[in-house]
Amino acid sequence: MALILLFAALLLLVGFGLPVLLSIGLVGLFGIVTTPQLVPALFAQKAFAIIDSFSLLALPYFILAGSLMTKGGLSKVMVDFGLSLVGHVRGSLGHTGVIACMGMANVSGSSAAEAAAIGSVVIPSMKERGYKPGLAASIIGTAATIGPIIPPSMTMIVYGSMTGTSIGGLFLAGILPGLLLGLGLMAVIYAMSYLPGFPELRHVEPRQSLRQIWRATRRAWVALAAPVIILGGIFSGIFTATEAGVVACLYAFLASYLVYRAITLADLPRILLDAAMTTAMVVGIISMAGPLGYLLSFLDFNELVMEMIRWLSSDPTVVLLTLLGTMIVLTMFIESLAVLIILVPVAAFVGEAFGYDPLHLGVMMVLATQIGATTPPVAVLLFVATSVAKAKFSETVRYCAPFILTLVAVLLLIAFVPAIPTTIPNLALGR
Amino acid sequence: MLSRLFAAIDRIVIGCIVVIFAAMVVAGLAQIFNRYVLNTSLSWSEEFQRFCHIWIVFLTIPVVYQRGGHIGIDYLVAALPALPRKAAIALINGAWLVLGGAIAWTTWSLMAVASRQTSPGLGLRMDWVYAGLLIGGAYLALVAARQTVAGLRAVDGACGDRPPDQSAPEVKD
Repeated sequence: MALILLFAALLLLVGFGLPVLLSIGLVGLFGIVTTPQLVPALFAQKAFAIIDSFSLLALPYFILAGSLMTKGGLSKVMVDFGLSLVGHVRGSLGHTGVIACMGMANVSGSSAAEAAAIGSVVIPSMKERGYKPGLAASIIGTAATIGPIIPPSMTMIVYGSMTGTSIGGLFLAGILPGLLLGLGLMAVIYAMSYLPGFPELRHVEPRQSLRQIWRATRRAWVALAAPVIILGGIFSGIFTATEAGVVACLYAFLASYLVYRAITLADLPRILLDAAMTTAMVVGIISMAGPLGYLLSFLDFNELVMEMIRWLSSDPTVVLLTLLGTMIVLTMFIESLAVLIILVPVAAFVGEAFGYDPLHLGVMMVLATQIGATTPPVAVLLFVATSVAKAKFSETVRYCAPFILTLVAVLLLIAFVPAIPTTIPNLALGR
Repeated sequence: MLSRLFAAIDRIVIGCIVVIFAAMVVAGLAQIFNRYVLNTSLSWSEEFQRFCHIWIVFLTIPVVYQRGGHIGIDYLVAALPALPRKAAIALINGAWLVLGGAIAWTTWSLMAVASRQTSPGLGLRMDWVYAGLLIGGAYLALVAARQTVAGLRAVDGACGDRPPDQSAPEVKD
């Protein structure tokens, strides 16, 4: 009963328009203050304890590295790189957008920022070549979901620190699924270019000479090499994910300052404050989830969910599909970060109880929340891309279905072929 | 007069955030340099970074709030006619005031216990670490009080410094 009240209050507050951080904080506060067995000091103590973690430190570091890297026209560099590779293939600018999103995912790790950064470069050229604004927004909005799958990823860091899963392992597990997502979207764009009604996809750019490809690659390689350091360090067991984040900051600073010459020392306070603000948005929610999570476990929430699942089915496949489906549906309506922080620990608890590999489960959960986050009605990534494309949201909705279905197909493929996410971490970490 | 005092406080807080963040990165680099180049490990660096992180988060939550950057879904409020919208925004600002006050108050009640504990790595008294929550919570309450007053004064129901635009996470290139 108390649980129902808690969740009803939470939905009401978020639905009414209160920021997620505020809603979670107030519900946790109210619950703790009104429970006679609990003292109010627990609120501060749990809000403190949940973020007092070394692995969570990877978050501010990768956010800072991302803001250092993306400050100076990196999205343009990535788009030029993509264009030089696939510009001459049918659906050229569509493929370019997907590749640029994948390249950007190497340094950014936040899907909304990626949709805006890549979208603001690619979408105007798409529209010049006659792409319908809604189609352009659909391609970039769905391609941006690759960001949290390809490492480094804010979402993976949040998932790892909420469930106690190895963040380095999650990073490695995301590589192949991220590539698959990119290839899947590009295959759909290619196939659509043969359908009537998409003449713009048949447009191709002139094939670029090897010299031009080399020039575009040379400008992009510093950014493209960032993951080699990050993943190489984790892969060989030298670094923890957090230490890799610190190194990524140094690398990003040197690349932006010395190579791209996009920032000056005077920009640093501004960049640090930007990164602090993004950190506070995310970690602030995690912190407020501390008291709420304590309250939920005080009320035996995990056991309750487990009982419900057992009552539903004892077949691991059914349980997994139920969990993933629930995540997608919830994130279609609620901000994905809130779902990830409050409900994913329970889902991971259930999934692991049914024998799923934590890394396999982690990649699927993160992908499921991203799919929800790009599916209408509440589709943050499509909103961002739509506003960049200056399209009407209803136009974007008309074209997004094939791309979202592709994401779902890749999710199902990963669900039934665990080797896709787990091969690389198994090799690297000797699990 | 009061507004100049507030502006000064805002600047000091932002200065602190930048300095603490920079110190955290330097400590992280020092830790790696010591471990992989000098083959010694620093006893204090990991703890120092964790504590810096906590201070950064709680000092920055009010800054993000002031700039309307916290993630939320506000179609409903934005779609309201002017007067109810003004009331709704005043309620939301009031809720922030409650949360800021609660963070400060519940942390305050921990301080006596925390002052008797020291951190293992730095040997720092834990009330110094918790002070980040206390200051952050109090500053959040201060900002919320200002936003509430500014929101009520505004004719068109705009919220404080900026119109309420929280439909998507703040996006920067």
